[in-house]
Amino acid sequence: MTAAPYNYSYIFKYIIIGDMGVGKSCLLHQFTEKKFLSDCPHTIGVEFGTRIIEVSGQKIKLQIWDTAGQERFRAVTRSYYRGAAGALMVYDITRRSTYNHLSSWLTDARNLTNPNTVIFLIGNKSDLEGQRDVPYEEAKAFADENGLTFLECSAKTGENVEDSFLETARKIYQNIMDGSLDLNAADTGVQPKQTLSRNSGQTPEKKDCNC
Amino acid sequence: MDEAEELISSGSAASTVGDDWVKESSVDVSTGLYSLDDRMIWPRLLGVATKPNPLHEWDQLYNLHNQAGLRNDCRKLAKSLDNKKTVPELESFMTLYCKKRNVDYKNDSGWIEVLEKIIKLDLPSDYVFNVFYAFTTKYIPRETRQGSQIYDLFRLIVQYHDPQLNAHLESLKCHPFLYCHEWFSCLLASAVDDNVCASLWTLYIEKGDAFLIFYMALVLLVNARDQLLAISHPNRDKALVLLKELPQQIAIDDTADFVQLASHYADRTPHCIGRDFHYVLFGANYDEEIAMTVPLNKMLCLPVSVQEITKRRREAIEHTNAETDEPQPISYFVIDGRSREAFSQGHLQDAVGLDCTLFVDFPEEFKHALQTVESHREAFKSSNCHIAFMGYGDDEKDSYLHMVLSKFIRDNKPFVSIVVGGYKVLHRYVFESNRPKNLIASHNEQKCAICTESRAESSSWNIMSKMKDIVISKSSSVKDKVAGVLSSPSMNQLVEGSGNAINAIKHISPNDKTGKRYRQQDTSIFSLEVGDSSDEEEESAFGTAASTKKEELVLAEQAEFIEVFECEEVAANRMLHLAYIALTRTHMHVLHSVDSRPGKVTTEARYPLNSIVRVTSKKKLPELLTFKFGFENPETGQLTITASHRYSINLPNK
Repeated sequence: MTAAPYNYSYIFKYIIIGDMGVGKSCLLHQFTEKKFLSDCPHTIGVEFGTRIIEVSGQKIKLQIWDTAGQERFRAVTRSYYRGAAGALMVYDITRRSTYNHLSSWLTDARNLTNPNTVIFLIGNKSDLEGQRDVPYEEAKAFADENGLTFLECSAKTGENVEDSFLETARKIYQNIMDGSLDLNAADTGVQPKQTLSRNSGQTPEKKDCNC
Repeated sequence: MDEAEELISSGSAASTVGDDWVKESSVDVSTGLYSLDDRMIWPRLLGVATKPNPLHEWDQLYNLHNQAGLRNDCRKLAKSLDNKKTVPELESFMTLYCKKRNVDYKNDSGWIEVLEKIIKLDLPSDYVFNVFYAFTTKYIPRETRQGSQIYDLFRLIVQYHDPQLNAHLESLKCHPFLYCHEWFSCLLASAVDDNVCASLWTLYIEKGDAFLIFYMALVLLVNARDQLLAISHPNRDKALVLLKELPQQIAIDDTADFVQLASHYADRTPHCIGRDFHYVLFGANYDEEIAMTVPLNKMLCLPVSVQEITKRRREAIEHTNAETDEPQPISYFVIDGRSREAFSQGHLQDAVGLDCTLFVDFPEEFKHALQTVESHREAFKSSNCHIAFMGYGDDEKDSYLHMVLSKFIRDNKPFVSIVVGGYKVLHRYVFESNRPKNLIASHNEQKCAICTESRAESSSWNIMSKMKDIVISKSSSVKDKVAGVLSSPSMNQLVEGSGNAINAIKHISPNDKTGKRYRQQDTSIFSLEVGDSSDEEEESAFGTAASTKKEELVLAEQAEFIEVFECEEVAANRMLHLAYIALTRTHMHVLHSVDSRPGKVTTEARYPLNSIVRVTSKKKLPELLTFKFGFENPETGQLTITASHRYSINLPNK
C-alpha cells in the first residue's frame, strides 16, 4: 500500500460509450498509458482504468469505466451508467453508421445517468482524414443541438485525447464549485476524498470457510 | 479401413449411393454395438419403430407458399440420389413434413441435405418419414439463421472452454454464424461425406443429446486452435476458409473418438444449460416468443444453477470417499462476489469471499485478495475445478461482480460461470424447501438481508389470519408453485440473476392469452370447485400402478427437484399412500415413499408441466387437490385427459 491513492481531493467516475470498434478502449489506453494499442482485442463486458489529473490546482482521480460496444453487452453495460459524473460518447469519423447510432446512445446516457452528468462527444480516428465519412461541421451541429461538448480525437496519435478527458473533468469541477452538483446527493459519480472509508480498504480476511 | 480411407480421399462421396455404401460402412461403425445392416436401429433409437407412416394418409394438397422453391430443391435432391427417389415422391414427402411442422418451406433450412443422408441410410421405406421427422425435430435446432440464439450459446461454450480462442475469433470478427451455420443446420451433413455422416449420426442418436453438436463444433475449433490463433487481425476471410473446412478432416475412423471427445467437453460444461435452453432451441413447435424468454445473447458467460453446484459437490465428495480410479468429476469453486458484510451473514458452504468493489476502489487490496482466492483454489481438492461466481442476484448490485468476471475472462481463465440468481436463489433453495441447512454457512438470521426482508413482509400479517390461512395456504402453495413454474417454464431464476435487461423479457403468465402456448382455453387451469362436482369416479393413475420393482431413490439427493411437497396420494380405492410431488423445471414427478425405508422413494409417474391441464380443489376440502394431465387437440381445441391424481396435502404441523 502506498499513500498515493489518497493523494487527491475527488474521485470522478467516467463511462465511455459508443458502437463497437470506434476505439473506446484505445482512447482509454492512450489516456492512462499514453500508448496506442494497435491490436486491441474486443472488450468483454466492461473494463476499467484510472489516472490522477489536476484541475484548478486540485488533484482528481478519474475512474474510467470502459464499456463493451457490442449490442449483446448492452444489458450488462447499462448498469454502469448510474453514478457516472462524466460520459464520453464516441463515434468513428470514418464510419457513418457509428455516428448515426449516437442518438440511441445519447438516449441511454440521458435516461440512465443523472441530470448533472457531463456528456462529451468524441469523434475518434481523426488521423484517418482520407477516409472521413462524417464532416466535422455536421457533428458539431449535432453536439450544439444537444448541448454536448465536442472534439475530434485520435487515439492513435493522441491528438485531443488528453483535452477531452480534462475538459470533462473541468466541467464537473465547475458544477461542484457553482453548487449545481450536490455532493451529498446519491449517484453523482463524484466522491470527495474524506468519505472514502479506509475500513473497506483492508484486505478481506476469510471467514468461516470450510475448505 | 484402407478401403474407407481411399473412398474419402478420392472425394467420391456423392457417387457412393445405395447398397454398396451400406456394406462398406457396416464394417466401419466402430462402436461394435450395432452394425448399420440392422436397418431398424434408427427407427428404434429415435423411438418411431411403432409409428404408422403418415404418408399413407394425407390429403395430397400441394399448397405451400414456397411450393415452387421446394420443387426445385427436390429436383436437385433427386439428381444427387441418382433418381432413387422421384421428384414427386420427394415433394410430397417434404410438403407433408412442412405441414406437420406447420411451417412454410425455407430453401436454406438444411432439411434437404439431412433428407439426402437419411435416404442414403436405406431404411425400410415406411420409416423414412418418421425417422426424418424425429431426427430433425430432436437434433436440429429450430432456428439456424443469422441471429439465432444457438450462435450466442455456442460462443459462450467456446468462451467457457477456451476464452483466448473465443476472444481471438471475436476480434477477427469471425462470428459463429459465418462458419458453423451449416454444421448446425444439417448436423454436419453437408460438410462431411456420406460414410462419415452415417457413422457420426448413428453415434449421435445413440448418445441422444441434442446439444452434442455444440461440443462437436467446439472440438473442431479446439483442434485447429493453433492454426486459428496464428491468423492475425485483418485476415478474417482466411480464418473463415480454414474454419469451414474443419469437418472435412474427420475420417471414418475418427468418428467414435470425435463423438467421445465431444461428450467429454459436454461433461465438463454446466449441465443445466442442456435442461434450461432445450425448449428454446429445439423441438417441433415454432414459436417466436419463446426465444425471447431467455436472453442468451446478453449473457456474459455460461450460467450454472444452484442445484447443479450442490449436486456436483456431493458427487465430488462421494468420489473422494469411494477411492475409485475413475477420473475426478468436475466440481465448482464458488467465489462469492458480494460485500464482506453480506458474506459474513451467510454464504454457500465452501464458498470463498471476494469483495468485488475492491477491484475498483482499492485495486491493491483486490490484487491481494485475488491471490488469496487463487491459493484457496489450488488447495481445493479437485483438479477439475471450475469457477462459479455468486452475486446478489441483482443487476445493479452485481455490476462490480460482472466487471471482475469480465476480467477473469479477459485473463483467459477457462471454466468461468455465474450462479443463476445468485445468493438470493441459493437462500430460497435452502430455506423455502427442506434442504440441508448447512448448505449455507455462518448464516445469521438476524442480519441476513433476505431474512430481514421476508420478516418485514410476514410480520404485517396478524396471527389470527395466519391461523386461518394456514390450512389453505399449504395446499395453495403447491398450486402457486406449479403455477409459477408453468408460467415461465424454466428460466425465471436465470432472468433474475444473470445480469440482463429484465424489462426486455416477456414472461408468460397463466393469464396471458397469447395464442396456444399451453392450450387454448380461456380459463385458468386452476379452479376451486364448489361441492363435490369434481368427484368423478375416474380411475386414478396410481390405482392401476403395477407392482413391478422400481428403482429406489434417496429423495434428498435429487438435485434437479426445485420443490418437493409431502402429501398423501388418494388411490382409486380411496387408500392413502405417503407420497411426494416433486417439481423440476420441466416436469412434475410423483414419488412414493418406500414403506420400510424412510427417505427412499420410487418414481410412480412423471408428467411434463405443460401436460397439466387442470388442477382443482374443493372449497370444503381445500387440502385435497386433483391434478389432471392430458393434451389438447390443436385443431378442435378438445381436451383429452390421460391421467389424474388426487393428493391430500399435509397440514404443516403433521
